[in-house]
Amino acid sequence: MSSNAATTNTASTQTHASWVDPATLMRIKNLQLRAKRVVDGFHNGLHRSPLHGFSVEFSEYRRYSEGDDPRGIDWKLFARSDRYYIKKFEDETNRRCLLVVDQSQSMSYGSLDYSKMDYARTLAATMAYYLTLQRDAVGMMTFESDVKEMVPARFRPGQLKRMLGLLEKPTHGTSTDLVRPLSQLADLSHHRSLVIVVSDFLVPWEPLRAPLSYLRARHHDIMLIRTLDPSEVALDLKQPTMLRDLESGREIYIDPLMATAKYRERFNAHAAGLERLTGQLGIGLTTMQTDSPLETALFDLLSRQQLGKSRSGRVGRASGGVG
Amino acid sequence: MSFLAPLYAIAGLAIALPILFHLIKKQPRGNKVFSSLMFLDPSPPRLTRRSNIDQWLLLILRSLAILFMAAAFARPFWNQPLATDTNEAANRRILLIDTSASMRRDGIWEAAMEAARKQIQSAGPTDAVGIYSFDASVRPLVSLEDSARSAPAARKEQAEAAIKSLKPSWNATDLGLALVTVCDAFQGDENSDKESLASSGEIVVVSDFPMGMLLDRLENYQWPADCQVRVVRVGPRKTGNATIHLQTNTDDDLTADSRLASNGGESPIDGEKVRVRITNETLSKQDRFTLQWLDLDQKPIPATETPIQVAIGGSIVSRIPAPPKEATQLRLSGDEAAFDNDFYFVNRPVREFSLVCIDEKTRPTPENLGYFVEQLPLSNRQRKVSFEWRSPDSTDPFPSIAKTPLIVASGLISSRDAEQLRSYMLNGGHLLLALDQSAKETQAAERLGALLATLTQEAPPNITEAKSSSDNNSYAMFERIDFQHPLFVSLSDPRFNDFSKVRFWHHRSIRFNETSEWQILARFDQDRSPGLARLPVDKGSLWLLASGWQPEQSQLALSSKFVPIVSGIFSQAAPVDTRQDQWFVGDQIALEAGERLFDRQHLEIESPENMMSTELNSPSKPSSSLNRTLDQPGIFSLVNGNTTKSIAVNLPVSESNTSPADIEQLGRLGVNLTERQTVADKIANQRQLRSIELEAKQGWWRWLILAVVVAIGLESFLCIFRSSFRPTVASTLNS
Repeated sequence: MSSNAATTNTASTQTHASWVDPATLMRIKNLQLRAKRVVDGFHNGLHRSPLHGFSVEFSEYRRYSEGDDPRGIDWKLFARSDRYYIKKFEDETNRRCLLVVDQSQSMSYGSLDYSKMDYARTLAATMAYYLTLQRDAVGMMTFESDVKEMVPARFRPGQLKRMLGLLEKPTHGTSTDLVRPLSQLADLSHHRSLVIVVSDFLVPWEPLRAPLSYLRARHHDIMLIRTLDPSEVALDLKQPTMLRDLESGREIYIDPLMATAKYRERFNAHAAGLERLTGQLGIGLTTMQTDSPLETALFDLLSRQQLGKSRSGRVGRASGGVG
Repeated sequence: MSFLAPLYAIAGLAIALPILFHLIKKQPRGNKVFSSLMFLDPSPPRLTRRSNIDQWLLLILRSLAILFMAAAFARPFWNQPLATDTNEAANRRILLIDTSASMRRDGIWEAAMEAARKQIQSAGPTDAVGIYSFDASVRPLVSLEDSARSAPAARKEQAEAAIKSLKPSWNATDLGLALVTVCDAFQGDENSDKESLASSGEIVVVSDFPMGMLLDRLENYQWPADCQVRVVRVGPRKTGNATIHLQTNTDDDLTADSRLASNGGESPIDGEKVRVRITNETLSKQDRFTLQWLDLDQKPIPATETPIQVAIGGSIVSRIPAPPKEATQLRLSGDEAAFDNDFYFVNRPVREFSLVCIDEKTRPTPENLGYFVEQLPLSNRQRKVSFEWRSPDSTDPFPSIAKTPLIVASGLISSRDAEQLRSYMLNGGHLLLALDQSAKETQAAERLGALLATLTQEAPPNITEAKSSSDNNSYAMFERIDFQHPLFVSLSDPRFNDFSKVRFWHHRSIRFNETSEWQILARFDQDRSPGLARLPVDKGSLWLLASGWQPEQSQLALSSKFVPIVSGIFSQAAPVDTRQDQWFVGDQIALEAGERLFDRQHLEIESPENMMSTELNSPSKPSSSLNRTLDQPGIFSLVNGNTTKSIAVNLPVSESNTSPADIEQLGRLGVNLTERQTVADKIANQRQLRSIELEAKQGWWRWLILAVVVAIGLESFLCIFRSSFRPTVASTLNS
């Protein structure tokens, strides 16, 4: 439990000089270019390009015993030594990863030059690109109040393009309902996968317990990335304002002198509740403000993969290579 | 500092509004979107602390604009004495009291007196109070000048003493005349006495304002704006009035002309039935009445009662049995107002006359003069004329002049008859002599001259037969007709004055002596000789026609002019009193020389010298001092020597229409009607007028409005200036 809690951090606190400023990044219109720019920058900052170190990892030899599959016999070594050896390789099974992106109206809010939606799309595209580079099977699902569209997790040519196309579709959603999409997701994905949910999670957290628990029970590894606008965190209105809810259209009059403190209190309580829930379920939660660099999400992804590898007892080939 | 309209100053409290608006946190200009309101509750608008007013300059400018605006509407002015201000100028009030016959109704006169006294008492201590009474005419009891001349303390007593002498008369209500007269007096007084009295004043009319009041005079009168009229209406204790009026045949067109044409006021009694109009007013409560004939002593004539029913508000004409000969009055009983219940009339008998024609009765042919005269319709409602023949040879004495006022004769009368006719004329008889005998022969001409000489006692005139030819184209016509003469007056109208159809085939050419008094009424166009002439012979007259009217002489008898000419001569011979029998109260009757007027108690009626002769009556009032104004209803006797003529005087018809009239009628005719005002109101009014004048002179409101404009301009400038530097909405959220 404590280790899970430790994985939750605030990415906005991590900064790096070489990382791309989100405001600058968002000016790039092409989503794939944006993702490529982030991933390239991410790798530049950490190590050499993963494209040169890619190879099949040899693990060990063991003597052939009856019952072993004869396909695994290293015939060259048999020629040299006249003994049957089985050449064992590292697990070659690709990881399945499903990116779940919230496209409700609340995501279209943004006090910066770009909205939370832009940020979330870029984030999802970056992850998809990164995972595709790792030869993982990546799928994508968008939802509003319901599951909108889904690209099943595959590793095949054109998969990245399909996913980016899905992300670039215009949205018409109104309200956010995380419970139903997550429940449907549990039904749709039968293989255990890494499920990355990108949303602002501006919904009551308590009802999320049931679908998240269900997903966990299906052995999915879950990672929640919470994108928030800086003004949502602080609510620093200068003067009384009539605020209109993006989803419901409801208007209320807000006097910042009276409302700010209470807002922050409630917001923090909600954040704490969400953290408590994820901690209890062993789910990773990353909160990213839209002005924070996107690379930090990749760090979280890496650390999540490391955690998953250690939990499953297998070493990720790519990460091993990297390490 | 005072205000003309201080209530507007209350609007200055509106200054609280900008202060409140400045204290309230400004509402956001537009909506701002936010991702989710799940952590937010609506904040109620709240007042900031006093120190939070940050736009002091704007607030001050806005408050000043409101204050200046309120002050401008309140019209401020400094109290300072006006150059024209006088101390407590006295007012003028004319009390116009109705004394018409309708004020005789039950309780109405007492109410009027009480109202008049109240009006006098309500006058200010220095006010001039004029008292006028009016009915058909206007009488000043106390003029404004009189009142102004007397001491202020004695004015009210003077006025009260004046109204004590008032009594209701029997006259009609001519409110129009009264108002015009008093208003003129008011204005005349205003011009003459402007120094001592204020221009403000009013006419107070105390009356019952009946529907029958006359307002014709106001129609063409330009009512002055500063002459105000206040009405004080008094009413009887019990309402309900019915009135009667005996209808005559000429009632339908009872104009002055028709009265004259009917030879002076027809008697309503004609035949076995008389027509009575009974009118019951709207406010009446009864609908059953009784009609009763009364004799000269106002005693009811037995068995002449007639019950009658008239719907409330209705008017009927009923035919009731003709009155007995002694009846002079018809009385209605059963209504609440008795003043107009009697109708007086004169039951005059028909006079009988005879017309004597001296002619040969053995020749009742168209060649005879009498043949046409006999057929003349000389009888009418007042006289009955019979026709008698008399032979020229008759030796019978001539009938009396009273019975035979006119004798028609041809030139055939004997000299004996001529002598008698001379004396007949001297006693007042009239002789119509038609010279229908040819005078071609000298002897005949001389005989005619001798006849005329006998009749006129003058030298015989020169008579010759006018030239005549055998053809029909030669004839003579009347010319130079004296249409001023009463005989031809009725024919003077252009429709009737064409005498060209009356052609004379034969006529005698007469040349009168120059000294004779012959009055030539018409001449023949052929030789300018007299055609019709009249010679006054002492009391009587000699009418001479220089031709005959039978067809062989002329076309006169066959023309339409014959009847009016002979009838006119007969009327001259037997004059009927042209004065009408039926009069109304208020009419003036011209007494003839030696004639005197008595009422039914045989008391001589004095001429009411104290009656005010109004402008209306002055021009039409004859200069003769023998005019008498008929000032009460009843039967009166005109006595002239031995002859007595009765006349009936009734209330004016309009006076019986006592239903209350709409006062707004006066307003519609331009009269400046005012509401009731007390003395305090008047003083307040004067003060207000003075304030208005001061305020108008000082004109502070203009400067205040200018200040408002300046303040609003500055405020607008400031707002525009500040709003251009206001941070944008987006930056509000970003920061």
